[in-house]
Amino acid sequence: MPVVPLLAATVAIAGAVIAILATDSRLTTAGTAAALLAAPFAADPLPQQLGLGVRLVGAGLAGYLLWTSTRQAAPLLGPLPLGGRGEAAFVLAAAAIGFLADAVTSEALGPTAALAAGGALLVGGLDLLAFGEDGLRLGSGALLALTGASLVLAELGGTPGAGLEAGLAVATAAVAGAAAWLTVTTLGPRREMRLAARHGDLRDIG
Amino acid sequence: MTLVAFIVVAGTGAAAWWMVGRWPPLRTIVGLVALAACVVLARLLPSGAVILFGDDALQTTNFLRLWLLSGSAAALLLTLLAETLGRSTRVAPAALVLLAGTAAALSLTDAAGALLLVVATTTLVGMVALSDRPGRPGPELLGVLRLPIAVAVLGLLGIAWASVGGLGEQPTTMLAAFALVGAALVLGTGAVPFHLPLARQGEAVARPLLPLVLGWLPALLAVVLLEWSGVRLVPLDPDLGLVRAALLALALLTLGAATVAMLLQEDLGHVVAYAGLQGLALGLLGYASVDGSAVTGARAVLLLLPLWLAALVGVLLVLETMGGGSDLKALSGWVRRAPVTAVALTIAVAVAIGLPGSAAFEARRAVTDVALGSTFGTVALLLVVASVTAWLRLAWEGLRPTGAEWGAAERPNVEAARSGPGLARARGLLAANRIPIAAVLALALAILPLALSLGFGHLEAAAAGPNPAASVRPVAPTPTPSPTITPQSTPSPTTTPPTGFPPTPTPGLPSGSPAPTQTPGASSPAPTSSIGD
Repeated sequence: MPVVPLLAATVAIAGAVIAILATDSRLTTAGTAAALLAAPFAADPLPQQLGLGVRLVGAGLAGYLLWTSTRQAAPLLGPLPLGGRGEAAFVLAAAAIGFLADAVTSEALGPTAALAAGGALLVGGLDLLAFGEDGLRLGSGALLALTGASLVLAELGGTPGAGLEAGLAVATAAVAGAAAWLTVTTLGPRREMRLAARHGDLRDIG
Repeated sequence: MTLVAFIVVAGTGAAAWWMVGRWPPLRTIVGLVALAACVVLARLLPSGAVILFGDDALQTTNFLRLWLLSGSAAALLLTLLAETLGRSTRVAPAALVLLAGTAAALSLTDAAGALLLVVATTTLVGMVALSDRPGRPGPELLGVLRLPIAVAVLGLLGIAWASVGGLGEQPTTMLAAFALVGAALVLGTGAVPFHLPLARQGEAVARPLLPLVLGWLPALLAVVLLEWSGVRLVPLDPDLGLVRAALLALALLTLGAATVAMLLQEDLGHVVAYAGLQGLALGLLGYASVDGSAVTGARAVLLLLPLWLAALVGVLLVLETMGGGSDLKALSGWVRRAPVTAVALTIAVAVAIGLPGSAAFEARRAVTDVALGSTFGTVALLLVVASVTAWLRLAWEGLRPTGAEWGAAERPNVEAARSGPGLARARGLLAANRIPIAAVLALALAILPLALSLGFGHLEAAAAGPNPAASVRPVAPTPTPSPTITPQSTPSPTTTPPTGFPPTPTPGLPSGSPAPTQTPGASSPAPTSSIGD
């Protein structure tokens, strides 16, 4: 397996895990941004230069928008329903399945780094999107889910064209803008981030 | 480059609207000027122009031009109406964002990229629309991100699954892809019983923004996914079994449930919203049919839907302003007080249900007949026609004696013109006559879809033409021959146009991309431009 896709996939998966585990908004932002920036390099072969450039601009803009919104808020975030570690375990399991997919399927799916990163980002993103209670985690989840789904598409459908990369870049920036707006407009009286009613801790069940 | 100019004007218009936020009158002017410029640019849009973007392209078609022209004109009229009545001031920026996103999504020759552009547009429009709400935002804002991302993930996974090298043409693979994209469409168009996320969005936004949230955005999503199916699934004619039956059942259920809900609702806004959901169900029906002629019919239906929905919302706004609310029981005698609005409602409902013989009706019939067969197709049409009883109920209320609480009538106030000097006099005249002006604007909104459905703009030909968003890129990493379903003969992007349109080469377009179809009155193909490599 080529080194660059493997390294990029590892960084993207680590970014998703950090975004989920972190209870500090700056770490969540950093993890999300790392995953977004590393994800395009997990594809093998790499996207065309034009598409790659557009994609990186979109990811950079998204990271900047999230970071700007967190500067106006208190840094602490509440834990996720499974405490973070449970969710991170699901992400790592998805990554492992992605890495092993090529070995266990009869049909060749191609290089597996993108599939592993895509699956991990998708699982982590959907988890944050479903259980996030603030604009930042919702936005982080939305961005990771979009990026993960596009990695799966690139893996299964072949090298993505400039059109797909441009669409993803625009969607990434738009979602990050909406997440930043949600984060800022829903700040509480102590500048805490809270949008939805807090979930109970699922570990308390039983 | 007219397409690029359109996108730039619409995008910068929306941005400029935000930047001049400190002076509301300037906002209004910026919004209206940008929308008027969009109308002009859409009119000038050539058919068949190609702008290369890497290995993809932006391609204009008659369908795109008709969509942008009618959409820009309707958005301009709706903005004028909302401003006249002093309602939501966010119609212009939301419409401009929508127009820019639509122009990009419907011209891009990559289905997945187009889907992502629709998601970006939906997110931004949702943000603009919900930022208009008074008070502290609450959990209702969760849908701004959750709904479009869920739709995007399902759609992308479906498109990906259909593109797997060597697996892409096997029945089980196509079934999974069909189901995933269908699920995206079900969520995105608010099919019953999965309508709550979309309905909540509609409930949360200001009334003038309803046609955008419940009309244009879901219709745009449906067109992009329909065209993907028209190119990827229709030529293979796979056996889609239970999934197809389930989608048809959901569409039929939505048609019936929407009619029942329209009859039971006491609020005119809810009646209008359910009428929109009913129209969107025809898009789902077109997708589930997996047939070229149904896809063509559904495109025509989806182009008209936001236009008649905007007209209905225009009527709703006028009546709300006149009567102080939208409770049906409180609208006694409205027809007597607002005859022009009554005409507008009649026209809008006629287009929504479909005048027999009109393009709208024929498109509807094509979708239902192909998807459900003649018997169940007639049932589906009757379910749509049955919704007319909800509008008859509204008319019945309007013909009763006028309620004492009713406010200004639709009749022009001539006295206002005689009082005050200069600008103040003009303002006074405008304020005193806002109801009749708004009624005329609502009538204009209703005439727009009527004209299209009666043949202006060559709706049928435009809907039957190719859609660049349907282009897919099944570039397999490790292709493996598949014996199951008729294999595609060329490794180039599969872009066979919908039924009835022979593939002809387009100058400058990547191999296999759809060729533009000229309709009567269309201009000749424009030269190819290039962005990037």
